[in-house]
Amino acid sequence: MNDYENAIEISGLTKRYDGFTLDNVSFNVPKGSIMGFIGQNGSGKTTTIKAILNIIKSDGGNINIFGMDHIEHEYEVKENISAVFDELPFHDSLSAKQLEIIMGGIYKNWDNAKFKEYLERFCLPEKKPFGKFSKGMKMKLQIAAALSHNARLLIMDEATTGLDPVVRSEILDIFLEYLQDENNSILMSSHITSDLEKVADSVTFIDKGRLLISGYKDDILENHGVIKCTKSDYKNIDKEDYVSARLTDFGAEVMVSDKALCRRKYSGLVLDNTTLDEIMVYYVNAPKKEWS
Amino acid sequence: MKGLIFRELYLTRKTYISALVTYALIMILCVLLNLSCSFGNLKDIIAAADAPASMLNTLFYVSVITPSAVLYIMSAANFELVDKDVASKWLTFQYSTPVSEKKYAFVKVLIIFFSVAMAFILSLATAALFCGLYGRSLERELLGIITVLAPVTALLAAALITLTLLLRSSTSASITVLAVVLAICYPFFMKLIIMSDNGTEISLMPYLSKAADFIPAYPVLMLIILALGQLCIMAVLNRRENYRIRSKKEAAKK
Repeated sequence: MNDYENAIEISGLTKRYDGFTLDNVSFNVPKGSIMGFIGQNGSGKTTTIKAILNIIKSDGGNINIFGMDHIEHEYEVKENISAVFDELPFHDSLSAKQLEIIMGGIYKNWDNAKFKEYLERFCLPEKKPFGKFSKGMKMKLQIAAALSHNARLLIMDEATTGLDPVVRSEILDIFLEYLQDENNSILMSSHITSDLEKVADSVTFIDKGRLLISGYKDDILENHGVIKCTKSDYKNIDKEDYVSARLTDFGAEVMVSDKALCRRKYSGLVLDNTTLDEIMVYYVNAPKKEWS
Repeated sequence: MKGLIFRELYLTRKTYISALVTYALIMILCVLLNLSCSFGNLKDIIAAADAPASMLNTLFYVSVITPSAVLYIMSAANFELVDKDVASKWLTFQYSTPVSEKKYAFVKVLIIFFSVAMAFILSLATAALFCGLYGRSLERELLGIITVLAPVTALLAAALITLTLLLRSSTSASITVLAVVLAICYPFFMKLIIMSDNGTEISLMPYLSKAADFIPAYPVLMLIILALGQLCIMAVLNRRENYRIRSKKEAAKK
């Protein structure tokens, strides 16, 4: 079970709907790492996650989890996966005490002591119905449940969206703790790129069902940069050297994907470091090449 | 599977408690009505009627069947939980756990079985109580009604769960089932009305006798219905795609 290199291996994943196609998506989530899965709303993040969880049937491609086919070994794989969604999937009338008994009967490796420990840590009451929980409490509860059956892979679908920065930071700390065990991995879909910048080891960008970039976060941030220049300087930049350019009244901001090359080639221009947020925006506008 | 059973019990216990409270209230009313007929105000009214024996006979049947019918109806009511399963995204979450469609469906069917079994046992106890009060033996026809209601309720419960999953609405499922039941029962009721118009006494006895003829077959029939119910629920759950597409449409509407 531990003899695998990537927690998730996706190759050529395709899913067609009316008006939307997840087109030949391939990426890996290395064992022992956090992958940030970024994209706009409707870009295909949830479709990809649902395909990984075999909630939807794909039209093509392969998905291996822990080195095993996710459909052939579905239940063995799912014993070791925890999925956290943006909404609490437990009924409002249930309490944490009851959830402990329910989940204990669902997962073979459910750990009551660990669950109680998380409840205490998150200050979650055991007997209060979930209907009376705040959004932050609900998310903490989901995470407590997700981490209490010794899952090897945590899949989060927009789970931190709508949470205040304090709760988000608390949750991110928990993830880093979870990754202390090198057999554990996280796939975290979000459009809050600042969170991913803090914790992610690798990043996958997706837009309109197509994969834009996938790789180590540090490499991506290292390779990308923004040239800030006048419009006349911008005209001298080769189109092949940049992803897209934002034209403003004051000049141009040009996203480049090979900072080292551009630093040599355009030595007279200012080349700034960039953020995941900016990279996402420039890649989304890449088909237009120029935008304002 | 143990976890799913506990989940069902936690979420449906209010329905069961309501069923038992309603049953107890109806039982108290029926016992009071019968006591009044034997020792109270209604005794004189019944004695003065044209056919007191027939009135008492009707009262006996009503006293046994009404609480039993309430129990059976309420035992099929936990299909509404499926509505909550869909609304709370439990089904989506469940697909991320090692719970198979087979287990989910089996637990639903198991709950139907125990609810119907509980209704059957309490109905038998009710019948025994009123037989004791009236000094009558447990008649074949009465046993026929109580027994035939078990597979019928199981059928309705399984159909309601399947349709709720399919239509994603317990209200739509209830309306559909009600329409089908009315369409099936219409000729039967028409026959009763025609008999009434001709001045003939309305009597259910021929039907009750027929129902009693098949008592040994009902447990087998119930098991067949539950097995088919399991297959239908699984078939609907296997259509995971529908949940994805519908939820996308719902999100678009919102």
